[in-house]
Amino acid sequence: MKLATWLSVLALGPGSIAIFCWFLWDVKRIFGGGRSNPSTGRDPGKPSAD
Amino acid sequence: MAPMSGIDYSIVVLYLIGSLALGAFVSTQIKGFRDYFLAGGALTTPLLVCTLVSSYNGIDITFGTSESGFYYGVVSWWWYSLPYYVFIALAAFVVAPRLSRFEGAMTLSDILESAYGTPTRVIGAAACCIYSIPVHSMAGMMALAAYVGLSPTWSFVVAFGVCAIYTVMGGMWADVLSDTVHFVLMCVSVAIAIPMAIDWVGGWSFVEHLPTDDVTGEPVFLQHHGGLNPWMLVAWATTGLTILIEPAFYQRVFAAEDKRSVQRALLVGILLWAAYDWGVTLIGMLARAAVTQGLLPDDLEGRSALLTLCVEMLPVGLRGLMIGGIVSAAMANVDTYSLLASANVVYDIYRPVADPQASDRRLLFLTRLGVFLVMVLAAALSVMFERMRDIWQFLASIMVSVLLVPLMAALFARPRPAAGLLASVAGFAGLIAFYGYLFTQGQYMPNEEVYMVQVGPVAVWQDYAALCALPVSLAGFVLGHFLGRRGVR
Repeated sequence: MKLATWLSVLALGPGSIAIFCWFLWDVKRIFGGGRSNPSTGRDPGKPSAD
Repeated sequence: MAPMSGIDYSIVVLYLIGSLALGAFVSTQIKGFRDYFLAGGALTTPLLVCTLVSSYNGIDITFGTSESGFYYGVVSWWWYSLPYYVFIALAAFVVAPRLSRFEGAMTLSDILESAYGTPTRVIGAAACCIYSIPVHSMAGMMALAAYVGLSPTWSFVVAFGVCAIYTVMGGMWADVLSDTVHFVLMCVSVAIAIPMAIDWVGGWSFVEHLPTDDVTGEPVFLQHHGGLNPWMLVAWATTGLTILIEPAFYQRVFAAEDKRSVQRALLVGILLWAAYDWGVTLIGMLARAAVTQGLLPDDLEGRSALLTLCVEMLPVGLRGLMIGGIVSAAMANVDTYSLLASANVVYDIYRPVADPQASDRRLLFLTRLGVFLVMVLAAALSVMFERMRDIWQFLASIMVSVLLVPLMAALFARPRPAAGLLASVAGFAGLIAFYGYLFTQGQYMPNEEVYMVQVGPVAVWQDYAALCALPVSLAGFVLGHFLGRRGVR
C-alpha cells in the first residue's frame, strides 16, 4: 500500500510535469509549422487529400 | 471549514482568464468543421496523453472514485478502476488499428452507418449524446461551489461561462490545449495532497481507524474484494467496457496524427490513470478514517469526502491549487463532452436526416451553438442525481446496452444491417425493462444507497443494469443477423 502510494505520487508529480515539458517541446513543432499546423493538421509539404 | 484566502481566489481567477485567452487565440485557427471537431487530425503523443487522461479522469472520477474509497475502501480501485486499464489496453492494440478500415470517419456513428445504415447511426448518436451530456461534472461543480463558500449560482455561471466561451470559440484545439494545463493541475494537486493528507490523519496508522466487517471483524476496507459479493464485483468491472464505446476515445483516435501516437499515449495514460485513481481512492479512505477519529464531521457524505479533507488540511495557496485542480477536472470533462454531444446532434443526426447538403460553415455554426446549449441542459439535469456514481452507472449502462454489441460487430465482423438496429433497440428495451422492474418491484437499501430486487434466490442490485441488458442486446443482434437481409458495405 505504501509502495503503491509513493509510486503514484511520483507518477502524478514529476511524471505529469515531464509529460507537460514533452508537450511544450512538441507544440513548438506544431505551431512553428515544422510538422503540421493546427488549422489543417497536415504537413505543409504534402498535398491535401480532400 | 477553513476560509479561502485572496491568494487562493487569485490562482483560480488567473487560471480562468488564461483559459479564455487560449480560446480566443485558437479560434483564429479554425477554418472548418474538421478543424473544429478533430483539431485537423494533428494530435501528437504528448497532447493525446494530456487530453485523454484529463478528459476521461474528470470530476466524476475524482469525486466518484474517492466516494467509493470512502464507502468501500481499496475494492473500488481493484474492481472499478483496474478493469478499465485492461479495456484501455485492448482498445489501444485491438480496436484502434481496426478503425483504419473506416476511412473518413469522424465519429462513432460514422462507423455504425457504414455497417448498418442511417437508422442505427441515429440511435447510436442519440445514445452517445445522452452519455456525453456532462451532468456529473456539473453536479461536482455544484458541490465544489458550496464547499468553498461561494454562491453556487455565481461560481457556476463564471466557471462554466468561461468553459463555454473557450470551447465554443476554439473547439477541439481549445479543448486539448487547455487539457494540458488541466492535466498538470489535477495530477500535481493530487500528488501534493496525498502525503499531506496521510500526515494530517496521523500517518499510516490511519488504517486502524477504517471500518471492519460487522460480523467477522475483518479489515474489509483493505481487502481487494471489500467483502462485496462476486456479482457486484463483476458488475463494477463491467463498467470498464465503456472504454470500448467511449466517444471521447474515438474522437481522439480520429484526431491523432497516426495510430502509433494513440497507442503510445494510451500506454502512458494507463500509468497515470492508475496513479490518479489510487490517489483519490486513498484520499477517500483517509477521509473515512478522519471521520472515525473525529477530525471530520460524522455526517460527511462520500461525494464531498475529497474536497472536505483537502480544504481542511491544505495551507493557503495549496488550497487554491487543489480547488483549481478540481475545477480543471470538471472543465476538462465539460468541454470535451459538450463538444461531443453537440456534434452527435448536429453532425450525426441533423446532417444526415434533415439537411444532407448542409455547408461546412452551417455545421460549424450549429455545433458551436450546440456546445452552449448542451452545457445549459447539463446544468439543469445535474440536480436530479444524488450520487456521482449513480449518474456514471446510469449513463454507462445506456452506452453499453445500446452500442457495445453493434459497434464491436461492425469493427470485427460483417453483420447484416438489421442486426445492428435490433441489437441497439433490444439493448435499450432491456435496460428500460430492468430499471422499470427494479424501481417498481424492488426496494431502496439505505446502507448501500441503491435499489435491490430479489428474483428467486438472487439479489439483483441497481449496479447490474448493463450486465442484464447486454444479453438482450446480443439476442437482438443474433436475431437481426439471421433474419435480416444482406447489406452492402
